[in-house]
Amino acid sequence: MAIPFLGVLLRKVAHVLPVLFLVTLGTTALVDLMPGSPAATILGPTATPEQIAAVNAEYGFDDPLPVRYVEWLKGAVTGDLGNSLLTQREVLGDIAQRIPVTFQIAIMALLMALVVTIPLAVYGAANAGKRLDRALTAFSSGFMSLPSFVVAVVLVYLLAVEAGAFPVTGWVPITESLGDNLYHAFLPAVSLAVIEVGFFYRLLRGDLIATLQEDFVLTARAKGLSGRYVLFRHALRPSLFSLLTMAGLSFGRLLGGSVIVEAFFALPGLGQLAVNSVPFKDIPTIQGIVVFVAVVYVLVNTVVDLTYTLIDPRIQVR
Amino acid sequence: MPATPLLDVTELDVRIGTPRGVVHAVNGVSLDLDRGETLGIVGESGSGKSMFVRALMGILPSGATLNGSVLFDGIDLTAVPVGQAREVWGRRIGMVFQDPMTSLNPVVRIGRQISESARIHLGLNRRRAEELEVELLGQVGIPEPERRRRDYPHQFSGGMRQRVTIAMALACEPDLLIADEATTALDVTVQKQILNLLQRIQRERNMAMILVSHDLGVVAGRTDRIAVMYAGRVVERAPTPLLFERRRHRYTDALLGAIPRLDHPPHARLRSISGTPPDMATLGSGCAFAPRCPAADDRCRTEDPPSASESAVAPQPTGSAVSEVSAESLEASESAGGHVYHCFHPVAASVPTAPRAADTSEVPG
Amino acid sequence: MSRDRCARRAVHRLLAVLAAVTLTATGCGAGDSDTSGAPKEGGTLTMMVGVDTRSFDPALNQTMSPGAEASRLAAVYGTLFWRDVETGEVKPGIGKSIEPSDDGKVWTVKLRPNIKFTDGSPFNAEAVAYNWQRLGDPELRSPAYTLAKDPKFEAVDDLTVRITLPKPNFEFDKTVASAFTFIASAEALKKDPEGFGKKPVGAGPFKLERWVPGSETTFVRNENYWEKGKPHLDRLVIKPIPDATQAVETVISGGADLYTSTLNEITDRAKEAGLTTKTADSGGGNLNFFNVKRAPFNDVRARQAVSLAIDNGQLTKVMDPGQASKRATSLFAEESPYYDKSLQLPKQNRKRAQQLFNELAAEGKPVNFTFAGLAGSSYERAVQYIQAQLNQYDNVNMKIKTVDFASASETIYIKRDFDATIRPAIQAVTTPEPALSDTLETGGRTNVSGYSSPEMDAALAAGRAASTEQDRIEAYKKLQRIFLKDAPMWVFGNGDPNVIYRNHVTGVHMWEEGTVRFEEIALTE
Repeated sequence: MAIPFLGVLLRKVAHVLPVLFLVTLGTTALVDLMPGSPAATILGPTATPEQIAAVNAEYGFDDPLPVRYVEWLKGAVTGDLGNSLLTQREVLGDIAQRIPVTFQIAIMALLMALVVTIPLAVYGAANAGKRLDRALTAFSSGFMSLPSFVVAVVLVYLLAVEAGAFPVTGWVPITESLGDNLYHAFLPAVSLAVIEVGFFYRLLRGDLIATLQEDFVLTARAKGLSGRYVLFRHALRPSLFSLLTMAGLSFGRLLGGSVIVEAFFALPGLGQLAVNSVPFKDIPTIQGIVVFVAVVYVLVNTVVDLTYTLIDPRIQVR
Repeated sequence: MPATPLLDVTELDVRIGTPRGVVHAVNGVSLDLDRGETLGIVGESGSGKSMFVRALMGILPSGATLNGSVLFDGIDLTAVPVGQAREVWGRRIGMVFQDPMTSLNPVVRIGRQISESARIHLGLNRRRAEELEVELLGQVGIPEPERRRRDYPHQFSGGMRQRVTIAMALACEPDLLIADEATTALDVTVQKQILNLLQRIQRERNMAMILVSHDLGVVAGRTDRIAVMYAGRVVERAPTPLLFERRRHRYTDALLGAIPRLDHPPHARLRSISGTPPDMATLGSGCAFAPRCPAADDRCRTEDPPSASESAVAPQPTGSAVSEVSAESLEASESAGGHVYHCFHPVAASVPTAPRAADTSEVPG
Repeated sequence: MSRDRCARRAVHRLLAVLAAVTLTATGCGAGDSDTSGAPKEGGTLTMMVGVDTRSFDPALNQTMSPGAEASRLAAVYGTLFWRDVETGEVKPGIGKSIEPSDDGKVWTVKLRPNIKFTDGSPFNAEAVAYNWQRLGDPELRSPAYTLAKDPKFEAVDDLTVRITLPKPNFEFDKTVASAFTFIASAEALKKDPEGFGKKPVGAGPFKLERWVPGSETTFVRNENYWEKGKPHLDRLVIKPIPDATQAVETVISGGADLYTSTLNEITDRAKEAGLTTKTADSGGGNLNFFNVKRAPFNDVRARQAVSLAIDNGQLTKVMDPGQASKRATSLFAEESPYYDKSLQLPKQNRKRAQQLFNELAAEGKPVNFTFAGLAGSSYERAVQYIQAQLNQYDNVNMKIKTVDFASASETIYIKRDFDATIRPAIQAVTTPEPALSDTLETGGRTNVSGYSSPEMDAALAAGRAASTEQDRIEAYKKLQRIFLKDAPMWVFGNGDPNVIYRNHVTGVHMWEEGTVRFEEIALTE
């Protein structure tokens, strides 16, 4: 396991290097297009034009874009992502500090979505076309089109404001208290999970229905195995490919930080860091997040590729 | 011989709802089978033979309805609760499917696929299950069964996979083995090996067996009796030698004509059945074969031909390999199962046409 | 089916939430009074603020808004002097007294003896002078640079700091009490100037315990705080949350104890839920800037016409649908000594506005302009309302360009590239010094309009130079008359700081722009 993983990972990283290059260069260019200069961020609204000029010179904000990019790149390849313009803190440290929050919410949302989706989709596929399946399918479309902030607003109103069962906002690190941590993480995770449930349900149900047409399902039924046994032990595993791919993509996306949900629940995650950095043109932080998210995508996709081989022995990782 | 047959199917109907209308896949089929007996079911694709065996196994497609009764050792599989029927399916009836490339689960080790029915039906523990896997793989002729039982289906060739599915069907030592076109997807040389294997196992275990095929040649030398299906009905059934010698139904006649024979001159054109099988969703009354039948008249097109039978002669032991056809054996087998057909214009003369190339398959051209 | 009923109820509740966010909630419940229970020593207070900490270096502080840095700085540094939120009066904090010389050019600051920073170094005249000199260091680029670059700061003796001003200013104590009030340990600053922003050392009621960016900043009681028996709390937690509704709901649900808001509708929601609220009637409020340096608003008639065309009361309600939102009637609050009821801000006058628009158009100077709106729902609503109202007039045409806060910093406040814009925060104008003068004086730090009037400058200078209160009142009446004549800004609505807190919190007092005096807060039994 260790050897193929490393090899595959290295190959993936090699593939992604050009992507990283383009993405970070593109980010630099895009941030450049935004009105306002980071100098104004550093100095505040009372700054004088002279002060702005001085800061621009000091930080090299006046340099042409390629020069600035190369400067950043030099640091980045040695693992130095620079300091935040906003707080002067190390970008790497800031990102590292926020990962646990985002990571936990992402994992919880994903697990919740899978735990809910798999039995429902198996049920829906086994009873395709019947009333409950049609209802579930309709619900899943509804879930898919629900923006997470609407879910968050409704959940907060019902469960936190009205019922008082959960906190409205806030975060307790897992290192402080597991119970409090889960208590605070629950609503944000559910808000994110709901949409995933919609996507996952449709995907898995569709694939399961296709699998149930396969001959080997007939074989299994002809062995006198119960319907549930056939569904879970024979049909489910070969039906997981699309779901796995989708879950991988979702996980990568969630790890990038869910901006709205993190802002709404005041969670100190990566999404909030991004949302605080962009309007202030905090380029080092924005770049750091972009690089991190890109690397995470590669990692997650590599893991997904490797899981394919666990699901289907016919697949060889190349 | 016990008083009741092992399998007794009466007036079995299968209807399948499709967007084009209700397909009458199986129409009033009645068949029976004794312990240790071998039955061939022959028909073109679409004749309802596969639906018939799927009905026996309770694996009809969703949306299919079933009427009639399937008595297996006195248990009506169509009437008892599904849990009770599952005690028969897989345990007392094993089934081998047509395409070994698709009938095995690609993501499950073959060992588990072989033993899982025994583990569930017979409550075998892991160690016993492993022993069984090895034993069965050995019996079906897979070398190094200890090692191979851990392999996945894609690591086997087609013929080997079919051996695996046979091992799978045998796991609970069933009383009846159904092989649905079990050799159709295989190479000609492999076909023969598999058929021989099935035959050997059937004899060793004294199982009853149903061989389903579109190819009369496949079932010719390996069955006690043959039922010919057309458009969801059994149009003719008879002891195997008798069917070849004294076939009555025009369709059976046409099927036999489609088998290449060694005594044909080389490059001679084969007689094929003209026309296409009927659309089962729009089937009306009358003989379903009438549109393709050279002897058909108006009556054939409007009236269902009633069942007719030939008279019986002297008894003969069942389960024998019929390689040479003699007058005695013909008469003997006629008494064993009776010869029943549905035709207004039966083939009159008895022409010896029993094929010797029993292992050939497709009809070229 | 019951499922349907459930779904309907959920939708109903969602609408109710949205309504609570967007519509005026009718307030009942607790008023502005303190809920008195027996205060106890100890406990933890959790406060929500709008934005996260950037730096604890007081020299880099950009605003005195309680929702931003001022609260966290006040916790760590306390106040040297502080201004009452309603009267503008300067009161002693860690500093004992601040007195002007007879000519108003020299100020003497006296400190209390034996006060130490939390690193043990003495809180003396040298430390204070160092802090102020540092603000005037051009290298540091402090937002207070223009205020600190001209005065001279020297330690006369251990407990006396002398401030020498280039011009007489009898109001300079008000600048000291806001922009100069946070004093950091000079020793710690010198030791690690780079890292100080993360590891501040002050002499305030609390010490920084932990700063988790984006999540929370935790402070613990300073056992050696100079005022005996204070602070009352053991611990103070400040958490950033961008969304005001979520912030107030968090307080309502018990997830936090206190929140400072400038939105009256948020206060209404808090009252409705039975929280205690406190409002400081500090005058001034919400205003729009005109760029007086370019057409069309280089003509005073254009500025007057636009502000006369709109119902300021409605505009204020649109921006903040809270009950307390109302039109601004005068430049100074009624509590202010400079308030004069004959000097009222003009009311809406449609006829006059149209006349002015027509007049300008006839002269070939039509009032066509772009309003630089700020991102954020309340600002956007207000700007759209202005546009819709102006559409009812002839010879005026307004476009909207919405900018985010960071680019506003540069394009509007620094480069001043705009026609008209809305001010993003309230401005307390109990007294003109220092904030209002900064906005009106030629070259002032926050003079976004680019307004420059020798008359106004003279009135401001006269106000500072006035050695008697009577002279100052006269000077500021003159200021108000000039303001009404020149209309350099469009003050349209009140905008008072509100504190919202749970009923077990007591001792809530505000200073400056509504920052809470943490040393006085306590929890009740």
